[in-house]
Amino acid sequence: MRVLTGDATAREKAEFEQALAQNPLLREEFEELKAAREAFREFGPLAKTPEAAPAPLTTEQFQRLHQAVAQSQRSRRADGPRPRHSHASEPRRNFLPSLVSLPRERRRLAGMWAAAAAAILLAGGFLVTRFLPSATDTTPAAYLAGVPAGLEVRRAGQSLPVTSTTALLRGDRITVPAGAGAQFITAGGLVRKTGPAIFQARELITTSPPAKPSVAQTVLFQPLQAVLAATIPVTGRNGAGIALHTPRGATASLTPLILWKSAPGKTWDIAITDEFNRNTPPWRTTARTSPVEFTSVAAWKTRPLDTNGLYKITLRETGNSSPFAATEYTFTTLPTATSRPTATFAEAFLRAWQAANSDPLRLGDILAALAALPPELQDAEPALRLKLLAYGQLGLQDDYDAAATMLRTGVAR
Amino acid sequence: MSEDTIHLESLQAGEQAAWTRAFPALMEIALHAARHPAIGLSESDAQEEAVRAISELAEQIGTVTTRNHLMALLTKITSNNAVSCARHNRAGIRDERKTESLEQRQADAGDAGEPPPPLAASLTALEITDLVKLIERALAGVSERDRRLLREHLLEGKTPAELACAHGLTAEGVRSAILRTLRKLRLALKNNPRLMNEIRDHLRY
Repeated sequence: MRVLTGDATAREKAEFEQALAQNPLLREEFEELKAAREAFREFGPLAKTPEAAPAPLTTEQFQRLHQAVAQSQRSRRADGPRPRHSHASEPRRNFLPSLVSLPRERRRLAGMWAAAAAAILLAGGFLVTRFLPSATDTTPAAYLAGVPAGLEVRRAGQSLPVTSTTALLRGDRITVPAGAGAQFITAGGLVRKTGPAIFQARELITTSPPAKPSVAQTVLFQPLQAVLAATIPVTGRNGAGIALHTPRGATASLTPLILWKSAPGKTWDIAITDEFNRNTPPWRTTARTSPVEFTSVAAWKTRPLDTNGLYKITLRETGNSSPFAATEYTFTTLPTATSRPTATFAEAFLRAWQAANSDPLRLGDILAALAALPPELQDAEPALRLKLLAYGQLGLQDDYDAAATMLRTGVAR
Repeated sequence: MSEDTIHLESLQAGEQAAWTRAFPALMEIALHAARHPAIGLSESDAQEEAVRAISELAEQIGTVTTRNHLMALLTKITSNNAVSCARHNRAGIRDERKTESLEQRQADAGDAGEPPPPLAASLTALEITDLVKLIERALAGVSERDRRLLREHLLEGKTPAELACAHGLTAEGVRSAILRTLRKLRLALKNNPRLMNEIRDHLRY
């Protein structure tokens, strides 16, 4: 039995082989059981069984698949079946090397999935190989994720004013008071320290960063000059339509913050429709300005979105019927999504980091979490680094440029 | 997987909503075929091949007769493309003077007790359809717990010890349950001697 389940010892295997050699009926049965095992291993997922549910797909995957299927169907209608793919004759898809995705319209043509993969390739590969940590003094070793009372950071003998996003340099000396707990975001993950403790920031780096760092790790822990130098915006702009910041892509919130680029004196009508069940009444609200807390709309308060859903959000400038005054985006809710309230000041940066480290990347959730930071921290370097990632991936060129400029200005200072 | 995510007629009619509903199930099937350990594709190549296979399936959707036929055809397309991709990739490492044929890799894998090469390469789409029907019939008479144990062991790679811990059983109990289910599958396969022989021949190769 252990031989079939793959956990037999060498001795058990040898004994079993001996038994098989002496007993043709046993060998026959064993070979048939192996055939049954391999048949199930390969084709089991095709069988309809109630307990098996496919994993959810990201919006990017849905879009990529729709694009591929639409092309096939067009080609089927126009020319009949296309020739079989030949790997020898056709070059592999070449992903665009940029942190910045193409704007929505062009993504439809080029494949949003490809752009996302490109960003990961760039950030995880190109940037790391070309700009491996230079360990300069200004490269963050860690970030504070919340500030417990009494926590002190000293740099070059001076006490620093600390916030929930403070970037710590390797030589910073940190004092966590007795009974307090502090969390630090490092390239290797989240590190917790309980007081009383006094240590240098470099001691937080207890594990090596992963060989293939996530995009968030790269953006947060590479020297700023390297991040800025590598993130060359592609041509094209997200100018058409309204720039929605969140919800975008995948979200872990069933009551997501709705945040878009507003214009003074204008209001917008919002509609969210369930793409999996057209019988679900849409969520509608009119004449709103950004941001809209989901639970602040009376009619929505008791109607959170559903987990594992695919939704379309439509933003239309109130009273403007022009097709250019409306924009649609689709987003998915994760199977693990919850209705937890908006992040507090203290946990906002941590939540943004978690969204940036998730798979799939929750780009809209990064921006939603950063929006919960106090105004003075929203444009501080750590938040801007994460915004750079989110704006770039979402193709929000103007916002990306603005964030990059603010970071460059900071570098120059 | 839930039966209502695949509506063949709507897919054949090119209804976008039907494709949207079907994509998770189709992607899972295609990825499973592309990730066959004996083929050895990287995850990004497997994802790429899965999408490509679904797009080819869309071209051939008019020829599909049943849901199981659709799944079988998708598996067949993915498997063929994945093997082709793996050959292409291996041809590309000649520069490193580390030429390795897929057959050699599969032979090595077989010696090491690793999974054999994909069965989908040896079976036709219709044979796969029959095999899936046969698996479904056999599993219909198995308890949900035993189906889960088999699935988690063979498809998710969990060991009997891990499953014992997760399901509150002994490792021996898990092995017995897996063997019990495999025996039911074996009996079902024996009712289709042609398929049984095909699979056994394939495993000998």
